[in-house]
Amino acid sequence: MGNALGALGTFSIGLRLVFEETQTPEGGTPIVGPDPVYLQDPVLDATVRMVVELAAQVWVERERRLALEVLIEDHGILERGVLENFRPSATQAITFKAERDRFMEDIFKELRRLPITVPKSKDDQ
Amino acid sequence: MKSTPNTMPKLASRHDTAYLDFVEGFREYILGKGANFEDRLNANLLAAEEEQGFPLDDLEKIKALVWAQPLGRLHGRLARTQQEMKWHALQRSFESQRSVLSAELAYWDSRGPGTLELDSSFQYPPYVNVHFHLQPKGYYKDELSGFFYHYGTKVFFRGDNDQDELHEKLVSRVPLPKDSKVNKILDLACSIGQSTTAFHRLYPKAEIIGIDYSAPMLRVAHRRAAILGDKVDFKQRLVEQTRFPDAQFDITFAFIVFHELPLRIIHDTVREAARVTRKGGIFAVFDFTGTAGKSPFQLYHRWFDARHNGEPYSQDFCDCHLQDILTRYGFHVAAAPDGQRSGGAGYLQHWFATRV
Repeated sequence: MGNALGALGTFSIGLRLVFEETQTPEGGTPIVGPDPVYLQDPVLDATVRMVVELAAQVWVERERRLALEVLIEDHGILERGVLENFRPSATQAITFKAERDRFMEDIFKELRRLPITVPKSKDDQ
Repeated sequence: MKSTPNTMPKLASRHDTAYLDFVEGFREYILGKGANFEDRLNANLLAAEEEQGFPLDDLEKIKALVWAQPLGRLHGRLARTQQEMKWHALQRSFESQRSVLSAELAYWDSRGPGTLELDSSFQYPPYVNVHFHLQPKGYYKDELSGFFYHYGTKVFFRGDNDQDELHEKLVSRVPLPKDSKVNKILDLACSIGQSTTAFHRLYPKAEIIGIDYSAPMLRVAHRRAAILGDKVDFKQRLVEQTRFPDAQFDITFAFIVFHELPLRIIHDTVREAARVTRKGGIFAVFDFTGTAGKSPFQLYHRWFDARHNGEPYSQDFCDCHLQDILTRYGFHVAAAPDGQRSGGAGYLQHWFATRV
């Protein structure tokens, strides 16, 4: 089917990689388009991506918590029970909500990438 | 012991650093022994080979067999995903500090000890317009492309090359010319100049020049060298048309360059290297291992990397016989490259060629 990127125009959706123009490789192996479907159903592809993204976010949070716990203990700032009983102020809650929105976007942006119809041909694999 | 200044671009937040730390670990897990896709898929291919009674070396057949397996498809999905995640994270992180990074480059452009020569009338040949490794906008269309490349390769090298350890190791393996004279070295397609500065540390009295087509890469290369205090010169030039006089260099060097060139340009580049390397000088090449003698899964992986990881020229390079090309244009390759994997990285091999 030739170079799948040849048919692309300008587009950008959320955090997907932006292929703003046609690439021009000289011969060689045709490059697959920007959203190849690897599994039997695009929903499965999206699900796998969400799971991996979720794992990344979990690690990001765990790494931060580990760093914080070490710092808190090293500096003798807090006992662990204080953290358990913490409740954010109204201003802090707004910040937390913004963080939550970013969290949702990071993990579930795949839902926006799903095509409306399933490609009929497997030629692009 | 003197500590080496850190030249890695700083990410915007701890979140971004941890996210990319995850990608690095995930990449190693799915491409290595963690998920162990390779051994299991290759075993499946070898079983098919045994069943048919002759070697499985037809790529179309291998592809069909891998894609028929849910495991093969999942491997493809995950390999693609980890690469996309890396660039997403870097895009977000660098975009949020674009003006700062841009000013950082401008600050170092005119500072030494080495020089940066950019060509305001430079014409990028069409074949370089590729998003290699899926890097957003490729190597030259974003002012920050060099920073993207630097952090992207940090993830690729799993943090083992943060202080140019791999480049220093490979550069140190390049043999001396027979007369031991090393006054001038050319680093072809030097990107962010890690080999260039490694050569300077090995031969501090030699003149070291790194060339690349990408201005953003060269600006990062120059910034790195200036921060490190390494006196090396960077020039915006094409590897197939360096514009240096004949027989100038004692060592000409190319690290993972050829697999990103069309076959036509590979020939032109070897011819050009032969022109600028003096008689008795060394042309040292480190690049992907060839496809000859590879397992069925490794053949599949080469194709997958080419098609799904933005490496359109790598298949042709791995299928070609670089040693024959080197010989054709006036080099003598001292040692057969087969089996000479380099630098502890299984995907690399070297060709050390002497100009005759």
